[in-house]
Amino acid sequence: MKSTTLGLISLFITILISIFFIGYTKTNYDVGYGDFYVFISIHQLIDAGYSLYKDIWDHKDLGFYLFNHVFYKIFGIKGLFISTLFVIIIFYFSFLYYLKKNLILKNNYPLAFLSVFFIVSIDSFIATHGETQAPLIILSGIFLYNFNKYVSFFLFVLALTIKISGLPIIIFFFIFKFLQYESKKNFLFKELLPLMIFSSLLISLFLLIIISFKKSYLLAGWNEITHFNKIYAENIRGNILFSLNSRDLAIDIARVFFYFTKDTTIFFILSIFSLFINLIFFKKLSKDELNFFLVNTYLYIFLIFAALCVMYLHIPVALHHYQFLNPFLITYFLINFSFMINKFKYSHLVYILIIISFSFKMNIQDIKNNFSNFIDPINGKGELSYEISNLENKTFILLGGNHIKLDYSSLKKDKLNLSCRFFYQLEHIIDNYYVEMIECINEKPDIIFLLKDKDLLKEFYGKYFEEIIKLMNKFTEQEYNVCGDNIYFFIYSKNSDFCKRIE
Amino acid sequence: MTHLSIQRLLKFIISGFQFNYKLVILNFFFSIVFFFFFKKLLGEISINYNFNFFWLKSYHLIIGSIGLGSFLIFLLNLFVKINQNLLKIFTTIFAFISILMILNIEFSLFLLLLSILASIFFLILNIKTKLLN
Repeated sequence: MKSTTLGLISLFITILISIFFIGYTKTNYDVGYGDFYVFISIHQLIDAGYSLYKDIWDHKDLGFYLFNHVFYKIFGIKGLFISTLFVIIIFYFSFLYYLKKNLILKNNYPLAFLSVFFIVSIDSFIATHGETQAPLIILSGIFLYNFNKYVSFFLFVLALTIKISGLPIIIFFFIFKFLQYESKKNFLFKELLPLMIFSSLLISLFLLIIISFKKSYLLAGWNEITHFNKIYAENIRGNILFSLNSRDLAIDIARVFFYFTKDTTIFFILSIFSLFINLIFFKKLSKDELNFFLVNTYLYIFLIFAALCVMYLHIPVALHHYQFLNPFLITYFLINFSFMINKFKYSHLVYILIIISFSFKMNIQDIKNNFSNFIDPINGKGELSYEISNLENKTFILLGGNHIKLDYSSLKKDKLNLSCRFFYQLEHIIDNYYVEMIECINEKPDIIFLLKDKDLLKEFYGKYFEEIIKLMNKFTEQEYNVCGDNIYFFIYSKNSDFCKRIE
Repeated sequence: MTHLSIQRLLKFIISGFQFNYKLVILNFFFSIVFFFFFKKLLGEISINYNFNFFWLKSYHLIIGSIGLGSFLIFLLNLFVKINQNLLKIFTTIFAFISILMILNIEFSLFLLLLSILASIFFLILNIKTKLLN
């Protein structure tokens, strides 16, 4: 088969399989995947004229929202899925470039397809998260470094703005490069210095855009949420970040490995196993294969160690955070595996068999559901949208309206009805912003939406549940009218006009 | 890189396992220190962090301590052939850290990990220049 045809087929099935797994989502009030609803809400609110961090609050990094907002603008809600698909396609081509450039391994296309297949089908994969996008962009940058170091560096910067905790991987990559160079002086002047100048230019351009559009609050907000993330991480891990005393260090190292998901454990063991198999049978490898194998192993030792350092920063590591480690393990294992069968005449059949055996796991109904969800995501269309479209100039707050399906798209642009920035209310956030949130309720907005599902509300508010509900009852009994018949929210309004409008 | 150089590299790595009696004694000393250090440390962790180590038995700790001690000796043994100065420096550092562990100094585990990483870093640099070129 011609290489172009093979390439096109491979790209096509890579896109199909990515869509299948990206489109997978839970449709209920699920707290775990409820993050997707937070992202939708934030993009809808940005569209309605609210400023990120200043008027609406989330503790994700700046680049994550800016990058995804571009896709949201073009494609609507499915843009959040398409942005992940876009990242996967960049990764696919970069990996293909890395494999092809070395001219060592046969079956580059199946290898690139399989790496994407394992990355998207692994148990910790959740599309639309920064933890999914950032490591793939970093890995693409690493693969493209020999193609063009500026393109690669741009990808590094993009990944860092999406998830700043990916920095150790980039640092370790440059340590690897530093060790690879015979002349350290050459490395400093020919590699590092031009990149430093390039990064200064990028940063200056970014600052210039932010200042000229009067968006400097974005930087202040990013700084604030980075600080919040540090405090949050320290609260939840029970020790200070970078605490180096033996007790904290030992427990943190244990936690990185103990929270491995099942699939991450499998790929971790497979990576080590494949390394040893190749080392034992190194005589079977040709000179070029051996060279590539060693350089590649040398690179991946640095990268996997760095990815483990990122995991250390993410303690206690949630399921989807392991996406910072998985792509490195998967690509390393697959490259090693392909060395094992590289000389085998029918090696392409091995890949075809692997693909077929995994494809048996899918059933037709899932395929239908996932594809239709990708094209038309379940997004809470219409939920509260009628009430919100009738707000006019009235201010409102939404208690418990985070992580659940909602539709803010009917908010009138630039009216800024949301009375304060805390629509995102979870216990760990209230821990840090309790005063601001109580002030927000005390300001008594015109309309209050309160989630009806008490169990879910308890889950969101935790120890603050009783306190907030007590405060709410105090106000609503005296000054507010209850109105509307929304399935999910109690609606309290100071003014009966609004009640009449929505009835 | 050729098959010859990888053969030399593998031979070099295997030579790290050929302990002499001095290193075996040092291993014995390291293992005892590590055993008591980790026993105390894991005990503290289970109380402070409520981290359940119910599955951890003494023989796990003994095997782990001997393993870690042997790994340090393996690293030191690799320096024997390539750089005597580094061998002396890292032997002193590891011995010093084990004394810190006996004294139960707060940062001893961090220092141990840091020195292991530093020794690997210097090994890579030396292997590159002395063995592979």
